[in-house]
Amino acid sequence: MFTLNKTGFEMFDCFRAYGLAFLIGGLENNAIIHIYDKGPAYIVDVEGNIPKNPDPKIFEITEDNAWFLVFQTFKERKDLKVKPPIEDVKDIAIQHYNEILDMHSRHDFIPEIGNSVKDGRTLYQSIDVSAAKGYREEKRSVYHEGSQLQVDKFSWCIASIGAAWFGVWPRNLMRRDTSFLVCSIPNPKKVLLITHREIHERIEKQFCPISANTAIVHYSIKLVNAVLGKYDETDYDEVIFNVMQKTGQQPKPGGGGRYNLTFLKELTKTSAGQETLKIMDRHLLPINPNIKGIKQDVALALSDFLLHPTLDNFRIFESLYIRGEINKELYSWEKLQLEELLKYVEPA
Amino acid sequence: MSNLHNLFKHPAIESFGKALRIAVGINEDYTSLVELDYAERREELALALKKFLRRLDANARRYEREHAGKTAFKPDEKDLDEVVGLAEQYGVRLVCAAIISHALVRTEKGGEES
Repeated sequence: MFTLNKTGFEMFDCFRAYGLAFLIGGLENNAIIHIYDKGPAYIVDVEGNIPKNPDPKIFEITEDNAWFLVFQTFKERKDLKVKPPIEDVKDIAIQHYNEILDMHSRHDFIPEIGNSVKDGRTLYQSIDVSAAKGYREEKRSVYHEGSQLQVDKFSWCIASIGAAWFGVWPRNLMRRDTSFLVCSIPNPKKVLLITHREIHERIEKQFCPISANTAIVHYSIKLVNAVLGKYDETDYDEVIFNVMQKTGQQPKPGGGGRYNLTFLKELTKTSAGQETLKIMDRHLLPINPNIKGIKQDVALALSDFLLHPTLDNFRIFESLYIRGEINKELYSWEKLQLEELLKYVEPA
Repeated sequence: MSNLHNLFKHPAIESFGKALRIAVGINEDYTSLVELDYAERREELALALKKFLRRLDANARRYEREHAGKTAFKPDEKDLDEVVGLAEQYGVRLVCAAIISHALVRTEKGGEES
């Protein structure tokens, strides 16, 4: 049993949990590994033998992982005195494997985070957007870039593994004509690692690119649809997300948070609700970034409603949708399916 | 269960919703839709319903004239009283949202609407 005490950097914490579990399990899934969110800490529970060494294949850049995206701001130069981060992760994981396991088998290990940590590593904003330069400091009247945040190398190493293998980076947001990037990860309330890997691979990484909200909501819908009825041993309660704004230089921090999946999970409990989710996924949240007009407006209104199911948001959605119906751009709802959605509209 | 869901299933709301669906889908009466959409107070709702019923009545008479022997759908007086009562109980915005929701819904199979 391994404990990963939370630090408050939500995405970093979640990546550490997935990363440690994957470091132990490797690509071959050598043990039965569960991850639990127990409030102040994540617990990684391992049944079976723990391998003596980590699987070296997890440090290779392949189509199945996002190593390149996690460290995309790293620019390799000949005169650089530090190792490229992927090599650094690999060296730390292989050389200090037992040390990493030992420190996380204690209940009192808390990652060291600060402006200067002895032998620490820079916490990349791709691992947690709150670590981005200048995000935490006041910069009134005098311009400065802001400081980097450092973290102890062991926590950095496992968080990087988690981010590379389990961070969800929508492929269609990599296009030049989209102005933002989103990275998300489902929070493991109770997750069997092998199942999580299967779900992660099954979900097509193309989400509605109209706004960060539409992308996050679209991923969440795909996630609950993928889990539906197939995986009893896996339960996600929230999606943790980070948003970055693309610029001519590195992406800049654009916020982050957690999206509670209760509403979407409630919808999956009836067949009409499941159909409603499928309609949203296939027709109401388009993955084409060039979509314009009423379909774009409806996608924005729908994502706002799903994020905050208030009467006001429903009325905006309803009002736009009926205009789409009149223009023959949107289909009419089945009564039962719309009824299912109405059940969750919060009273004004 | 939300109030909106309870209202959506209420027979009087269903009746007005069906009438609005006909008005928007067949008679292209978008004015009634906009008036209901923007009604916030009871007086505004009463006015919107009054105008809506007047337009619906005109269209119904035209339909019946053109299709001899057929009867156009119209909410009855009891439905109107109940909708007004519901607006007092739940609020105008919720009642309007429930009526408009019915206009989003597909016509039930076999149900001839006019």
